[in-house]
Amino acid sequence: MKTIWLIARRELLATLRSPLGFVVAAMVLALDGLLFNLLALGGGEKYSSEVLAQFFYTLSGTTMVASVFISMRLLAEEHQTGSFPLLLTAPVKDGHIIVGKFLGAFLFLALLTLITLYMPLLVMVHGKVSWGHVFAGYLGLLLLGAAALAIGTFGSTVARSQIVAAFISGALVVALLLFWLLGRAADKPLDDVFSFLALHNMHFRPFMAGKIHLRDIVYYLSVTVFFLSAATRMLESRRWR
Amino acid sequence: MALATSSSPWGVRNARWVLFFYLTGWALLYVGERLVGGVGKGRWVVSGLAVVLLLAAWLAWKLAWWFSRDEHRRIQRTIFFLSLGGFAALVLYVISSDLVLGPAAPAKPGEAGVSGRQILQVAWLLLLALSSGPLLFAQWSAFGATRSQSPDARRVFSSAWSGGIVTTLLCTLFFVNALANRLDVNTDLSYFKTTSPSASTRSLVEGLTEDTAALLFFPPANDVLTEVEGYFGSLARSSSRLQVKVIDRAMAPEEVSTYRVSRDGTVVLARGEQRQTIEFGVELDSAKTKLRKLDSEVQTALLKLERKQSTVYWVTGHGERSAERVEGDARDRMSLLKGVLSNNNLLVKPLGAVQGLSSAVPDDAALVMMLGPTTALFPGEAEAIERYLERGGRLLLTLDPAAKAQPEALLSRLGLRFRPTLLASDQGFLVASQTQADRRNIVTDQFSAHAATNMISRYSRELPVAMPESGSLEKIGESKKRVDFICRSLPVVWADADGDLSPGPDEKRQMFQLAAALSAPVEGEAAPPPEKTPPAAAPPKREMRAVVLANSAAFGDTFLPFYGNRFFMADVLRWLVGEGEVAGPPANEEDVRVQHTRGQEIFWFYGTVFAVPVIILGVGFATRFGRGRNRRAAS
Repeated sequence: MKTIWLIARRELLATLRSPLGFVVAAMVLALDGLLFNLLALGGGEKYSSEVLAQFFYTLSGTTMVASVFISMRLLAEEHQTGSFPLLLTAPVKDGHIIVGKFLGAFLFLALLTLITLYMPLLVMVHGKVSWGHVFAGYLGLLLLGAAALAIGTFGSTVARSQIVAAFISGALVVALLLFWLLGRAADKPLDDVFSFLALHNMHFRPFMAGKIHLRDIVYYLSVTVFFLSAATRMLESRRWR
Repeated sequence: MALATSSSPWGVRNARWVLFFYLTGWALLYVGERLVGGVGKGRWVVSGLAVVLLLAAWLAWKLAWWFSRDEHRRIQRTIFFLSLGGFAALVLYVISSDLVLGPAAPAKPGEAGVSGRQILQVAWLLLLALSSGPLLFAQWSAFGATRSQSPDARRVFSSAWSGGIVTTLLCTLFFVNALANRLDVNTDLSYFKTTSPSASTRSLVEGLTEDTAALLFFPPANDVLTEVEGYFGSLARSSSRLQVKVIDRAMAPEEVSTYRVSRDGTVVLARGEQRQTIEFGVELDSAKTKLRKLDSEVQTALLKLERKQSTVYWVTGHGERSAERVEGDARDRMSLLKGVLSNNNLLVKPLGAVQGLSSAVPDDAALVMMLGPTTALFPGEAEAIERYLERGGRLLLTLDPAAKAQPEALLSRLGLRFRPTLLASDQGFLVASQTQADRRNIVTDQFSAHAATNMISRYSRELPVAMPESGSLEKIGESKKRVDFICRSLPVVWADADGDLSPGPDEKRQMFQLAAALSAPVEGEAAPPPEKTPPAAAPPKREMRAVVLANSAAFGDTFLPFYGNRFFMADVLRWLVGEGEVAGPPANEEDVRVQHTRGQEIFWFYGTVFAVPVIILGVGFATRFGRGRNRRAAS
């Protein structure tokens, strides 16, 4: 656990100190602000809960995109800078490396997501906002972000270049997002399976509306655990490939 | 083709093909059984081909094991044994299918439990997944190993182990997800809160003159009861005159019969022989809508129990605004205003030429409302209203600047002149349509201290009032009536005479009078005390009162949901009808529309899109440069 925390802290500080960290943060916040004004608040008068739901909807998109960009450097950067062999020869388990790096990136993403709290506060000033709704929305965002980050971590383990890592992660995220379309097209029993596997549609919408389902929490945690495990296996595979 | 060479038999050299047969076999089996299905020939052809491919793959792996040597032999043996899991899965599938067990009987309604067929169906899928994962990983590793002259079987074992872990994890996660999905544990944190008793409802309860019982007919341990009981418990602490009692309908047939309660989830407010019933039901989901406005429902019921019903006359026949949709009239409706009056136990009746307005206003009129007339009054009507006022009547007159004609005669008798030029502002206005026209939705927080603005004048800084499409009022001549302008515009407003929504050289920014309160003692009565005292001192009963508003939309359905407008309306009605007759706004937990002014919109936009990201960038760069400087200083 100590090793994981050490790696996570190193990763978080490295992100915060690098220009990439705050440039990505500023860009994501600017995009969030723009989408908040255009989509959540725009288009005539809306009820507070509608504005909030729309806000979480737009934020889910930027969170997924940010996750891919934050995670692309986790392992691929080690390849590019040539520090990968050093990392592998360190007396640290592969699983600890993956979880530590993921945790560092997740803390940064959580920070980035929670900074946007001023937007629901603005809605609260001129409308009615339920704190439970805000909590549910942010819980959903953090879970979705964790799942997308885990996918990104896996992508970063597969590729040696950050661009390729981002491409692979993006493709995986998009594929998982589009499962809901497959769910609509497929027959039983696959339609239910595909709909359930979709990253956003079935599992994030309840959070947007302020509803927390155990099903959705378990799903996002499962995706996170699975992709982190897959990333660990991928790292281990250098021994048998 | 030789099946075996010294170290690389056919099955090893063509491992990719074998794997292809294996995977294609399973895919075809799915197509044959699921997509083609039935008892036709198609199913047998496709599924048969699938079984042939699978058997061929197993045979190839078996032969590869037999004919290979040394380390290759260990690798092929591992792969073959892993593939046996798939073979067992195929056997289990055949047993669970209609070929052996026959067609599955349709599930009976309400039937629970798991059948042997379902166990077999899960078992073959599980077995297939658990064997295929390690098999694929081992085969992947073996591709590289077989090319090597000195392959290392440990790599293949390690690979199979990894595959096993991933597949086991995947299966476990599937089961956990299926279980979570089946349990369907959830909580709704969306906008839902049972109202708490508002100050106005508490005040009503404190003023109860007779014992009143709140009887809650609910089954025990009910979610809706928990919400309702909490509310009434809190309310009962305001006065000993209110008693709360929970009654289980099944256990109290006598009370059920006495209070005529037909279903669970009913609240009866009883005072002597009078009853008021509110139905919630026992399902929390369906009761939520009503629970959100529980305070309003209880307030209405208490008012109906406590007070004699008064009558409010709504003048019609001159193009006035209506509570209902009127064809050809695009103006905002006033259904919310009517709802407020009804909730306060005030009976709303129309009053026009048909009801005899030309001759007299009925004696039982507690208030006459003329809301946005667009044509002139009929002969005699202004005089009838004036006679009504002279004998202590109450009038609410709201004016529409766009009207073809204004009730000039009535206004001049009241000592007022209405200027219909629309007011506009480029600073204090509400954004509704995101166009320049929004500049006409002016807001104000300028209220004088008067009994007709008792609450809003205290809270106007926090609760600005929207005065959309407003003209302005002026006092004319000397009048016996006391005229108080109770609401003014902000000083940044101009009268937009040219209609271009921009302040022209002749359009001076200034304060305009938006509402006036008029009062006069009835002939022979003593003069009233000055109005600038709070309403704690009860107003004299024999006094004419009128409120004139330079716009009508402020009390319309679009703007009345504003807290400021609601408070202003409640103040005006209370002053007109009587302090005790109109309760203050009830607590309401219903969702509200997000409203903001143009200035606030600009602040939101620039704040969220630019200010916060720039702050983040600034902090980032400052930290970075600060660290660099420290490092240089240290070196």
